Amino acid sequence: MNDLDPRTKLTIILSLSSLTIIFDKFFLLCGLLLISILLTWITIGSYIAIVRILEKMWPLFLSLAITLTIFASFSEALTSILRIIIIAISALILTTTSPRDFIQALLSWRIPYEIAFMVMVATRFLFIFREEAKDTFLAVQMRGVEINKLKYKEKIELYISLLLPLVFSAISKAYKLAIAMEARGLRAYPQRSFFRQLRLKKIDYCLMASTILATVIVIFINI
Amino acid sequence: MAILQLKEVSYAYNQDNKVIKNISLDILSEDFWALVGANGSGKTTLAKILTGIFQPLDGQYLIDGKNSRKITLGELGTQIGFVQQNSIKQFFTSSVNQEIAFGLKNRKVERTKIERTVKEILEYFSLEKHKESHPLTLSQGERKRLAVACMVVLKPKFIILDEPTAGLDRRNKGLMLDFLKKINQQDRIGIVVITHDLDWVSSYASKLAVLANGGIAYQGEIRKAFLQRQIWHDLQFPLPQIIEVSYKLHEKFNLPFCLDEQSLVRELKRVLGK
Repeated sequence: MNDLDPRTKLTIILSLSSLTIIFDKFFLLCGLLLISILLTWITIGSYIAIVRILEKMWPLFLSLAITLTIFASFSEALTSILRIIIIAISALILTTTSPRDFIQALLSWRIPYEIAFMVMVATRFLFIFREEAKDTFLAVQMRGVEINKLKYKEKIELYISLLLPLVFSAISKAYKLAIAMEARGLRAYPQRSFFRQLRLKKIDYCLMASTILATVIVIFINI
Repeated sequence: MAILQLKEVSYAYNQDNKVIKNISLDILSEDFWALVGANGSGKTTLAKILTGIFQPLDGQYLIDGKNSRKITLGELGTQIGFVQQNSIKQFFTSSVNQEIAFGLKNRKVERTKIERTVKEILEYFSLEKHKESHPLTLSQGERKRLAVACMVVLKPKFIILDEPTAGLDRRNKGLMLDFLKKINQQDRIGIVVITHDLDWVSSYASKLAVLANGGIAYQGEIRKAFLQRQIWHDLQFPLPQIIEVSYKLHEKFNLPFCLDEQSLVRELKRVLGK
C-alpha cells in the first residue's frame, strides 16, 4: 500500500472526506471511520501515528463536544467529532508520499504548478508554525510564567496575546520564502518539465476504480 | 550566593551519538563565564540544559541544590533568564515598553511599580527613545539589548546568553558586553555567555570553559587558559591577535602576560620608558 501512486492515495482520501462531509448518518460515519483506520494502518504499517493524532486532538474533541451539546445537540457533536477524526486519520495516508510526488500528482490532474507547489509548501508550513508556537511558549515560560498554574481566564488572555505575533511571524516567514523561491527562478519559464514522472500501475487503476465505484454506490444508496 | 551545578551531565539527541559527555561545571552568581567552542561542539545544547529546556540524560543538574527535574520551566524562568541566539523569537508584544513589562505583569506586580521599573530599565539599557517602537523594528544591537533588558527586569540570579555578540558591529558588541559586565558587577547576576568569538572573552569574562567534542577541554581562570597553548593548538582554535602578541612578548622578553590592549600598551610603555 505504501508504494501506491499518490493519485490513488488522493482518490481514497477525497472519497472518504467527501462521503464524510455529505452524510451525517451515525452508522455510515462509523463505517467510514473503520475503513479509514484500516486503510491508514495498512498504508503506514503502524497504528501509532493514528493513536498519536487522536491523543493530540482530544482537547479539540472535548471543547467541540461541550460547545455543540450546549448550542446544538449531542448527536450533532458526535457526528462533527466523527467527521474530524475520519478526515484527520485518512489524511495521514498522505504522509507516506514525498512532497515531490505529491506535486507531480496534482500536476497530472491539470492543477497549475504554482498552486500545487503552494499546497505542498502549506503542508510543510504547518510544521514550521507548530515549531514557532513551541518556541514562543518556551520564551514565555523562560520569562517566569508558569502556564500550567494560570487560571483559565489568564490562560486565554495569554494565548490571545501570543496569537498575533505568531501569525505575524508566519506571514513574515511566508513572505521571505516567496522571495527566496522567486530568487531561485520559480516562475522563470511558463512551462516546466520534470525528470521524475509518475506511472500508474495495475493495482492503482483497480483501487482508484473500486474507490470511485464504492463512493458512487454509497451516495446512491444513502440519498 | 546562588549556584548552578552540572554533575557528570550527558545529553544525546539520539541514543548513539552523545552531544554532551560527562560535563561537570559549577557556576556561581558572581561569575561571568564564557563557554567557548567551535561550531557543533555542543554549546547551544549545553545552554539549553542550563536553562532547563533540555533535561540531562545522565548525571544531574542542580539549581541551588535542587534537581532540575523537580523544577518546572516557568519556575526555572524566575531564576534563570535565557537570551536566545535569535532574539526575535523572544518578543511577543507590540512595543518595547510592553515587552519589558510582560514578565512583571504576569507576576502581578503593581501597575505603578511596573511603570517605574520599565522606565528605569529603558534608561539603563539606553532604549528610552524606542519605548513605543515595535521590537521587530529595532536594529540588531537594540533587539539584543531589549532581549537582555526583558530578562534583567525580572531580577534572575543568572542570565544565559547564546551568542549575544553574533551579527553585531564593533560598537554594538562593546555596548552589549559593557551592559553585561555592569549587570554582573552591580546587580550581582551571574552571566554565562555561549560564544565562538574569543576576541572579547579576555577583557570581559572572569571564567572560561572550552568545549570540544561534547566535553570540557578546559575550565577555570582566563589567564591560565590562554597560557596553556596546547589546548588551543589541539582544538585548532585561533587565538585573538592581542593574546598572540602578548604571549610572544611574555615568552621572549618576559613581559607580564596581558589579556587586553590597554594593559599591554601600559606594559610596553613601562618597559620602553625604562
